[in-house]
Amino acid sequence: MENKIDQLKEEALKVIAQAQTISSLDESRVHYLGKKSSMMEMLRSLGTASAEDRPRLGSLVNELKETLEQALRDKKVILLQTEQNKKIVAEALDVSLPGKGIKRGHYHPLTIVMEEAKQIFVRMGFEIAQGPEIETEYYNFDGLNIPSHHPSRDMWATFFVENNLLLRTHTSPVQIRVMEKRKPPLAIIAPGRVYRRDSDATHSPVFHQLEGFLVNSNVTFRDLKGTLTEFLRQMFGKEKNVRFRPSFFPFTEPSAEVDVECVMCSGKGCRLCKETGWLEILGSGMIDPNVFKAVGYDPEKYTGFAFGMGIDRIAMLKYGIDDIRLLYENDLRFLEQF
Amino acid sequence: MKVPIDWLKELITFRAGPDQLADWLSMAGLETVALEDDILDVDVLPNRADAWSIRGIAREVSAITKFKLKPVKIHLKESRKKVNEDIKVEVRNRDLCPRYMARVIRNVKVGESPQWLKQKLLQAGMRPINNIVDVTNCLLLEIGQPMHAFDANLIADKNIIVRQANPEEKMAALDGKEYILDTDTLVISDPEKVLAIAGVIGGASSEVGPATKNVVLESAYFNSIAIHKTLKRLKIRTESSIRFEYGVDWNGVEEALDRGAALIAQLGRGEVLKGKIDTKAKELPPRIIELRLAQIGRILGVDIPVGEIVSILGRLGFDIIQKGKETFKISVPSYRYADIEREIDLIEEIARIHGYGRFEMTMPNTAFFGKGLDPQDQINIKVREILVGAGLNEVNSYSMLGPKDFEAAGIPLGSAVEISNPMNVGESLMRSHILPGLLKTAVHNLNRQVENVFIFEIGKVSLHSSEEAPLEKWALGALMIGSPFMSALDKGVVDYLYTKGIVEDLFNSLGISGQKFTETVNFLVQPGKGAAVEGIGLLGAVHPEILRGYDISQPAYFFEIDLDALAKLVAGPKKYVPLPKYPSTSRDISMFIPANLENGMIIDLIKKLGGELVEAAYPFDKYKDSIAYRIIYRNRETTITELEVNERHSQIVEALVSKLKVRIR
Repeated sequence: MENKIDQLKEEALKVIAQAQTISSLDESRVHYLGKKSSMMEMLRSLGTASAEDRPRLGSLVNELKETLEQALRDKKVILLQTEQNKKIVAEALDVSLPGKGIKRGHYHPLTIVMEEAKQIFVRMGFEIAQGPEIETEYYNFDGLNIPSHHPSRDMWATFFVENNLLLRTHTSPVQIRVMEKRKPPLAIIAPGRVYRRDSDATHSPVFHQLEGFLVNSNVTFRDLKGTLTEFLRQMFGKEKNVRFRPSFFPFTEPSAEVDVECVMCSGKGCRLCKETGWLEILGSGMIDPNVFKAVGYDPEKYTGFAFGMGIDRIAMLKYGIDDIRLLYENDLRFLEQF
Repeated sequence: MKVPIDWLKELITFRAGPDQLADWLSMAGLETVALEDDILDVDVLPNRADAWSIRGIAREVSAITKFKLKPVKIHLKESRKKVNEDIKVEVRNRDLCPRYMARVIRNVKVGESPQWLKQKLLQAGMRPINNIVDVTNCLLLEIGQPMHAFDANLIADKNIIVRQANPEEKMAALDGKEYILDTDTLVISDPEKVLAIAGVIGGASSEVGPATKNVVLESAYFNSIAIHKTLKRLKIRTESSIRFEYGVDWNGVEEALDRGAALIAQLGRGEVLKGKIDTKAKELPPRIIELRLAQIGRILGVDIPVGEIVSILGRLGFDIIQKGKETFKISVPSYRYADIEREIDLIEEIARIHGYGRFEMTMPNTAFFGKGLDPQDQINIKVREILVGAGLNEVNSYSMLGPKDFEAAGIPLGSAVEISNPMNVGESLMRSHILPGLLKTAVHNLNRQVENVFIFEIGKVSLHSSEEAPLEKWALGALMIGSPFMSALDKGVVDYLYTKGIVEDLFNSLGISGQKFTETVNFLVQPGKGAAVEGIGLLGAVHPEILRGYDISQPAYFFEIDLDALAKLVAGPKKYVPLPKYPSTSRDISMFIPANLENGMIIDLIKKLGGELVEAAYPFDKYKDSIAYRIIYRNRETTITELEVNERHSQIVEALVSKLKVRIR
C-alpha cells in the first residue's frame, strides 16, 4: 500500500505538472481525487487494514490528498495567468488610432460670449427679457426720445418692412416694452438680434446686442459706473482699466461711452486700438426723463441707467477675429475652434 | 471736423500740445484724434450743434481748462447809400425761415484770396474758390454760421423772395447737378427763378464769378427739421446744410453777416452799403432753466460743491441770473438753444466738465424680487446644450434670404415678410424657415472639402399674418450630412433613424413624452423618409429635388422644430418615481410582419393588451424578413408569476396574429 501511494503521488504530480489547459487540469482532478479515483479506493480500503497500520496509512493517504490538491491549486493559478497573458497579448492594439464615438458639437462663438455676458449680469441680480425683432417706429425710435426728422435718427441705418414696421436697430425697444408693463424696481437685460443697413469688415447687417437697464428710486450715475466696471472686469480680466467718456444717445442723459483697456496691448497703443490704448465697448447713460414720461413713470420718483453693447464686437476682440463676416459664414473649420 | 490748431490759437490762448488737446476734448465728450500737421479731427455728435465750428471747439477748451477766449473785433465801415435802396427781401414762410439777413457790398473786385485765407481753408479741408466765397466759408468754419453770396446784378428786380418751391420746380446747382424740387423745399428766389435751395446749395444762375461787381451777402436762420427733410429727399449733404440741420446760433446770424461784409469789403476793396436787412419778427426769447441743486446729487450720486457748479456753468457761457439756496435760475446762451432745454441737460454739462472719471463707483441694490429667467430663453439654452452634446455645431446665419433661396427650398414666397429697402435682392426677405440658411451653410462647407456637416441654428422666423405685425416665432433647424463619428474607421452615415433618435432624445431630455411621429407629405421631405410631429415639427431626408437645386449630391437629413410650441410641452419640475421592488421577466416573439404594418401599431397593441403588466416592448433583432420583439413584464406590487406572464403573453401573441396578421416564426 505504501508503495502504491508513492507511485500514485509520483504519477499524479507529473500529470498535473504537464497539464496545458484548465480543462485537462480539471480532468486530472477527477481522475486522481474524484469518487472513482484509486485514492478514494484506498481510503475506502483503509477499513480492511489492521488496526495497527490504519492510523499510519490513513495519514499517508490524507497527506497524498493534500499534496495533490495543493499541486492542482498551484497549477491552476499558473494556467489562469498564462491564459490571461495570452488573451492580453491577443487583445493588444494600436493605441494611436483615432478615438471612437460621436464628435461633440460646438457652440457658436457669439453664443459663448452672449451667455458669458448674460451670466455676469444674472449673478448681479438682473433678469432676462425679450422683444420682437420686427418692431414699430414707436418702440424703436419715438418712445426712446428719438423724434422723426431729427438728425439723431440717422445714427441708425434702418431696414423697413411692411405696414411701417422696421427691423429693430437696437435692443433698446425692450426697455420701453418692459417698462410699459411693469413698475420699478427693475433690473433687466435683453439679449438679441438687431439689424442695420451696413456691411463691411466690422459691420454686419445682422448682429447681436445685449441691452440692460436698472430703474429704482435712487439709482445714480455712480451705480452705472460700478455695475459696468464690474461687468467689464469679469468679462475682460480684473486687472483691466475702464474709463467713462461723455457721449450722446437720445434715450440717456448724461450719456457715457465706456472703454476698456486694449486687450492686445494692455493700453500701450497698437493697431487694434488705433494707438489709443482703449477699446470702445459699451454705450450707456442715465435714462432720459423723456423715456420715463413715455412709459408713464414719474422722473421725480425714479432714476435709472441703461446700457447696450455689441456682442459681435466683444467676440471679435476676445478671440482676435478680424472680419465680422466670419461669424455668419459658418465655416465649420472656424466654428470647431470654439 | 478738421480743426487746425493755429486757427484755434487765434480764438483762445492756451498752452497744450495736440495730444493733450485731443485728450481734453475726448474726455469731455468730443471724440478727437490729433492728426499730423497740427490738425485735430473732432467727431461732433448730433446733439452738439454749438461745437460745429472752430469757435465752438475753442469755447469747449475754455470750459475744460479755464483758458480765456479772445474777444472778437469787427471793423466795418459803411457807405452812405442804404441797403434797402439796393435790395428788397420778402419771406413768405416765417416758420421755415424765421430770420433772413442780408447786406450788399458794391464794387468788389473778385479774385483769388490772399495766401493766409487760402491756407486756412486748405488746412480745414476746404477748397479755395474766390475771395468772396472764401470769406463765407472761412466764417462758416470759424463760427459755424453758413452764408451765401449772390451776384446782385443777376437777381431780377433786386427782389429776393424766400418761399416754398413750386411742384417740380428745377434748379441747376453749383455742384453741376440739376435738382427737382417740391413744395416742402424752401428756396431763395427772385421773381423769375430759384437762386438757391435755402441752407443747402446755391444756384448757378446767380453765382459769384470774375465778372461780379456787386454782392448780396445772405445770413439766415432756417428751420432745422425742414432742412433735414430736404437733405433726405435730395440725397445731398453740404457743409452749410449740416450746420443748419443741427441748428445754428440765432445771434451768430448777425455777427457772421457783419464780419463777412467787413472782410469782403477789405479783400475785394468794395463798399458796404449802410444798414442790413433783418426779417426777424421778434427777438429770440430768453431761455431760463431752473436747476435744483439736490437734483444734481440725485442723478450723479455725489454732491458737487456749489463753487464748482458755479464755475463750470460760467465757463460754459451760462448766466446764473438767480442764485437761490436750493435752486439756481440759469439763462442759456443762444448757441446752446439746440441742446440745452431742461434741467437734466444742465446736469449732464456739469457732469462732463466735472469729469466722469472723478465719480467714485458704487453698486446698485438689486436685492429686490425679479421675475427670474425668461422661460423661452431657458428652453433655447437647454436645446442648444442637448444638440451640441448630440454632435451638432451651432451656426448663425442672416435672417434675410433672397427669393432664390425660397425657390430652391420650394418655400412659397407669399408667406415671406419683405424688406422695402434691402441692401441686395439676396437679402430682401425675412426667413420663414431655418432650413434654407442651413443648406447654404452646408454648400459653403462642402465646397471647401468639409465632408461631414452637422449643424443647427436657433433663431426667429417670421411669417405674414392677418394681424398688423407679422408672426414671429422661435425656431430650431438642423441639417446633417455624412458621418457623425470622430473616426473615419467608424462606418455609417446619418439616416432617418439617426435623425429621429436625436429628436426623440431632445424630447426626452426636455421631459416631453408621448409625441407621435407620423409619416407625412411635405415639400421639404423625401416621401416615405420623413415624419411630422404634430404641431411641433418635421424631420427626415431633405427632398432630393431640393438637394439638386443646391447641388448637394450626398443624402441630407434635417429637422425643424417650432420652439414656441415645444416650450408649451416642456415638463414642469421633476418628481422622482420609486424604483421597482420586484424583478421583471421578459419574453421574445419572432414574427414575419406584413407590408405596411408599422412598428408603432405593434407596440400599441402590445401595450393595450399588456396593461399594467407590460413595462416595455421594443424590436431588438432582425433576421432575414422576420423581426424579434421583446416584452418586459413586471408587477410593481409583487413578484410576477410564471403563470401570469404566460397567460398574458399568449393573449398578446394571439392578438398579433389575429388582428395584425403577423406570422409567428
